[in-house]
Amino acid sequence: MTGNSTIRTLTIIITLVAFGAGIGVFSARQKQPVLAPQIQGMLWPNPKILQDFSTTDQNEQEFKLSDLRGKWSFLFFGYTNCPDICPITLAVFKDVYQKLQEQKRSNDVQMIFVSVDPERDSSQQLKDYVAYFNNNFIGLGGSLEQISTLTKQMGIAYYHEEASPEGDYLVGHSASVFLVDPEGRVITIMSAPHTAEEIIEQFSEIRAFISQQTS
Amino acid sequence: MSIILRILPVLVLLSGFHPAASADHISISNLWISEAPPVARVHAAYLTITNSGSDEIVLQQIDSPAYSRIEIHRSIIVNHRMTMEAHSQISIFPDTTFRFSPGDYHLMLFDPIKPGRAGDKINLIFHFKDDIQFSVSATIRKRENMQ
Repeated sequence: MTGNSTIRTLTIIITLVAFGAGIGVFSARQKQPVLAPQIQGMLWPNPKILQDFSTTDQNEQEFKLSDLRGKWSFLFFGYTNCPDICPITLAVFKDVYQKLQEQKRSNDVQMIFVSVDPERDSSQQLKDYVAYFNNNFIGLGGSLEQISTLTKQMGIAYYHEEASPEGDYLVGHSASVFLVDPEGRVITIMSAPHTAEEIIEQFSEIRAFISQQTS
Repeated sequence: MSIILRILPVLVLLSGFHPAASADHISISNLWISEAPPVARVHAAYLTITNSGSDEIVLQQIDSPAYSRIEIHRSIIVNHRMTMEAHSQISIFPDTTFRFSPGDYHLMLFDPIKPGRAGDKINLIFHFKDDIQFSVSATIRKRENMQ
């Protein structure tokens, strides 16, 4: 009888402890914030919220903030006479987009090349240039004033070097890839060098995280 | 010896076999030009130069009938910003290999006579100090990931 009583008491104590622990774990989980993925260049929790801008796309149509909304946009700033970093990055873009297409995840993704040399990069030049990498890519240009409505708020610095006797000049520009979410917020600045695999991996993590934040 | 070196490019061209060049202590290998969009006025070439001799060698000039001019540049990224540094020549120390590779040192090829497609061959002529010249055939290749 005494033995049964002891067992009963122990059972009650164990049950209460387990119940208490369960409540504790549940409460802790409820309070635990969802941490942003540890990705270099991620601006969360302070993403840059873009204001409206006005540029011209490769089809001579206006391209503004509303054209970024509803899509994940990868942006790179360069110029078509750039022989090394720009085609390297656009080749990576091509690979990223192709892989996302294969995974059927490209419907709400757009790859955008923004010219910081609009004097030489006409709409037709941009059209032919981006189409070489992928027909779905977007090339943005317009006047320097137009371009600056986007570059200034994104903190993109660029400068035109002195022209050679032949009239050629180089343009110093950002080497990073910028990821803008469907709300028009700059979420991540991805530093060079880039690989398609890394970009896709980071994009998957970021996308899942942002989705959690908004659900 | 000097005469041999001078006529070497011609002999190499006539032979039709020039995947790489070498003259005793200098060799040029892995020379390729990246295929570029047809509208690109500037292309890039990459290669490896090996100096197996006991003296420094100096690459002073490169030219090609397929381009108006060729310059040596280096892409440099500082504080997330890309700039290019022009070099009038490249010195390669004895027993050293120097690589021109994507995102780093490269040759800038201006004003292509025609766009060129992957698989095409283009001759580049390398001029080193002491009047050493090589004509080397470059293959146009598509860029792959991070190339």
